[in-house]
Amino acid sequence: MGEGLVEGIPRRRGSRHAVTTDPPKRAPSPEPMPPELTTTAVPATGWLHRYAHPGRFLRLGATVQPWLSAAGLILTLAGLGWGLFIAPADWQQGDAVRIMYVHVPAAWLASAAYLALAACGFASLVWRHPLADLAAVEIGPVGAGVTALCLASGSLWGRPMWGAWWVWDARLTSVLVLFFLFLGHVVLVRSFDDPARGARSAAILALVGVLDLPIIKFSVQWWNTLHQPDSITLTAAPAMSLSMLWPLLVTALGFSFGFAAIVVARVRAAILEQRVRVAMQRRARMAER
Amino acid sequence: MSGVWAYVDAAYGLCAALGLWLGVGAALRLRRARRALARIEGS
Repeated sequence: MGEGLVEGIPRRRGSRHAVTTDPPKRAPSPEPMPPELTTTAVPATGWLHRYAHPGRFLRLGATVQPWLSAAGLILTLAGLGWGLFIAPADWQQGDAVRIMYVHVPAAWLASAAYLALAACGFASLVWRHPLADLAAVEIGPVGAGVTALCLASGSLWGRPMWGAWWVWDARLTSVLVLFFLFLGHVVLVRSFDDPARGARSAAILALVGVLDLPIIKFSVQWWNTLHQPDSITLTAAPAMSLSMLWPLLVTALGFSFGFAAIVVARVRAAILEQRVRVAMQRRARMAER
Repeated sequence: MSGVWAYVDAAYGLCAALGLWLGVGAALRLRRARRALARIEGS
């Protein structure tokens, strides 16, 4: 397309989604795939490219988003209600332990969101896929919000338990670094006149920032921290009662579905906004003639 | 530990506020974009 656009998304130099036909044609339904996507040149990632096509993503997103939203809302309300009203108080911490049902799922989701951001950065740098850039732009602010919730709820938990809102503990500090990484991504991706350069710089930041994730995970083992060690690991039985574990897991699942629903909605909106911009530019050019 | 409920309420309140802000914000943005596109394609 003449303006370097694929389904309303700016084309990046070297993108395998670069389509060189000009002028743009109205896409029949179903929308045709760019030729690069219809080949079997990249069989290992063919499915990724297939569903990363903006037109397909819009249709897929419209189908899954209501289900993600419903699952996220129901599971989050059930998990938080369970944790707040039904789960027992802790013998040591009393009712303050109920903050765990907000804090821990937010912490898990913050790390998972950053991993998703880094995966988008990887897809952007390796395959130069424009949808990966869009997804990264939309994941950034949501991830920053979730990390802020993790930090704020941790602070609210720390005040009655430790007597301090904040300590420069390795776990807390590494999560604060994660928050700044999200903010840095949000700022960097919007800091360039050329969106492709912004996306590239932000993708590199996202990939470098992945180093913070193992530091967060193992900080409570590597250093003597005020923050307690992990109560739940993949290799050992959970160090908490099942009556507390279940609402925690339900809430974590609800947060994850909710996060996915919000990101899908934001990416769909971003694609549509791009199409609106393209249509308006096209109209302005036609008016000039 | 009678005063802990204020902290618990604040944490749950923050969670609800963030969820509403992000969720409703995304839904409104999507609706706005859909309407803008429909307006342009319709005219």
